[in-house]
Amino acid sequence: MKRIHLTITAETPLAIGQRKPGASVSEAMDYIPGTVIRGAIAAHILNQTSDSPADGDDFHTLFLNDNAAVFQNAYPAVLKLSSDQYDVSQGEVKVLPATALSSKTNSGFQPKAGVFDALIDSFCAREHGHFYEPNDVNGDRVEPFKGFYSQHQGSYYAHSVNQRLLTRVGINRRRATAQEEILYSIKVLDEFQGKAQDGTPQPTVYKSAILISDDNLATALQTFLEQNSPHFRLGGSTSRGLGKVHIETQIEDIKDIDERSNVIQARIDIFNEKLNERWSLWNVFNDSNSTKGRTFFTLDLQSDAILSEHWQRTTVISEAMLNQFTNIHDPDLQLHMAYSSYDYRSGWNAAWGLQKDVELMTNMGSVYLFSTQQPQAWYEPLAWLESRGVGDRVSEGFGQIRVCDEFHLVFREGAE
Amino acid sequence: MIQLASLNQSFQPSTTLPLTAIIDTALCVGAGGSSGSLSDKPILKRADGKLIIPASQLKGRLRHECEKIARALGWAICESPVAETMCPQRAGLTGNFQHEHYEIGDRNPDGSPRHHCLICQLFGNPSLPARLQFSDLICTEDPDNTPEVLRPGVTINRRRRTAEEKKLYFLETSPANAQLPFTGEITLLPGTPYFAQALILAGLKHIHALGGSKSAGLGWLQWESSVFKHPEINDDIWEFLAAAPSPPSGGEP
Ligand SMILES: [Zn+2]
Repeated sequence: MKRIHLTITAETPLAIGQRKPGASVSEAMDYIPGTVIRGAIAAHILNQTSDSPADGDDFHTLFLNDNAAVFQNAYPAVLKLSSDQYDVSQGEVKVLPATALSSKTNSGFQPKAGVFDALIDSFCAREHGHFYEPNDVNGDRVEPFKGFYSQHQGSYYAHSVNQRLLTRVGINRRRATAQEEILYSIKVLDEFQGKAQDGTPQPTVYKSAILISDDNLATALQTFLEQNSPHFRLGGSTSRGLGKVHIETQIEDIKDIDERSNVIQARIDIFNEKLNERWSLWNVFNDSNSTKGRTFFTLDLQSDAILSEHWQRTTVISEAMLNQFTNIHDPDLQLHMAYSSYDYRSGWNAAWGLQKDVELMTNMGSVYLFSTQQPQAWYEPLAWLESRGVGDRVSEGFGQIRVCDEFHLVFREGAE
Repeated sequence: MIQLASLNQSFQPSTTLPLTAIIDTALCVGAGGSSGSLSDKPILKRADGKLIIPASQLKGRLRHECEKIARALGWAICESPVAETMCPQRAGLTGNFQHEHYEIGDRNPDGSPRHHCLICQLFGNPSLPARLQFSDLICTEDPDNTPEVLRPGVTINRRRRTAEEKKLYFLETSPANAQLPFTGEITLLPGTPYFAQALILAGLKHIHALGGSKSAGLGWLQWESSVFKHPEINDDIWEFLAAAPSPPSGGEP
């Protein structure tokens, strides 16, 4: 299995619209959805040939099979180190869990009030019968702190992209004059994020990846992307010059499942170590042992997910659903907490030129806390799930998860 | 059957036509309706402050010029930009569109060949993707050297031939007579018809001004590009363009 890392640099503004049901104006999203990247690549392949896709060919393997390639979302990767100092994150760009909190009045990573995670403390408090209303160490009220983040030289940084409204005048070609009737506005993601000290603008950079199980096909796709890199356009209004990007690729072997299971186990071990530490702090109030013999783990949604149970849309990953996703039977699996929210979204399938249905989405950042008495059975399935995703349309980047995200270990006293 | 390895092998790089427009007079490429400026028609800028002529503006003007040239050469051309009068619908238009020169090598669901006029084959229409990609034309001059100029304008009352004071407005333009260079490119994607470059160059030569208020002397330009100096266009392309199919006999003249 291979991972093709994509570094996408914007050369013109990007119009990544999301139209919500009932709204006539499309809002700009603050990242490039995997489905947009997938659609652009599929359309580009179809454009290069007069052949049609057939069963068993590369097009099917990449886009249509059950085990099709996974096109992950591209998240903004520019680090704002100071007001006139920028860098591109070398590390992974992740989505903050919904349990991340920051001061209401001075929110943000240090040197602002700092951001911390409340999942473990909320769980301990609740199990001890306490109502947990967190504030920060200065006693300030806190609220959820959402978005993308990465670590750079030991510090945490939030990632975002500037947006602006482009107003353009359509041309009445017969008169070759500007005609106000066809004035239009589009919300776009800026192609630059600011200027460095020496005046050079910092282009907007996004990072994404494509996961492909067939090694030869992965290499062929990388070659295709490299050769065609100058011609990819992402998002809307591309014939008007928007969406021009430069794509750099880097191919990496995904470690085999044993190795990935070990990584998952290590993350779960640290998570439980910290959870037990916090648990004993809360035990000051009353001696409870409901964590005895149980191993806890979280699923953190790194992208929006489309989840259903018994044919009904849901925003919670239940014990039964997780058993089903991983194809294992653990009657003892228990869901303790679910922090999830939802949104409606419709979309445009660029490859087929069709309007997609309106979907109920579980928002990225959602957190689910599970426990089991037989953790050994879970390491490998969870490692597999992390490379594949949960729910529908995983090949378009939906339902990407991370097990036991390290940010859960950032407590309020050590807010970053 | 689509195999990437064979696509990669038969890969044809696209052709890029570099373009530079030297703006002789002040340029006014307004974006009416946007706020944040004193002007009623602020000039368009990139996020880093550089002045731009948007790709859409150049594409629209070039399509218009190419349509005029092709029609003058006797080709039946659909009428943009309204979908109903564009290929393949062409409601209410007469002309010899069902000609082999207009076949794009693709088939309709019923097996008949698909026809699109020469212009749509390059610039696209709602049912055919464009083969040409336009970039914004970006002013290479440092934004610090291109201060905004506000110039008052008035609306003329045509009947009375007087200026209507109430309709005084402000135009934001680039500095006058600064000979500002704007650079960009037109990309011919693989599969672009072979007559494209000839038609584009001919069309560009007909664009003498971009932006608004041409009659007020704004936006006049000269093209400066190596492609004009060494166009390397074969004679048979000119012959093809000059030999438009005659209208079908018995049809409308
Ligand atoms: Zn046409």
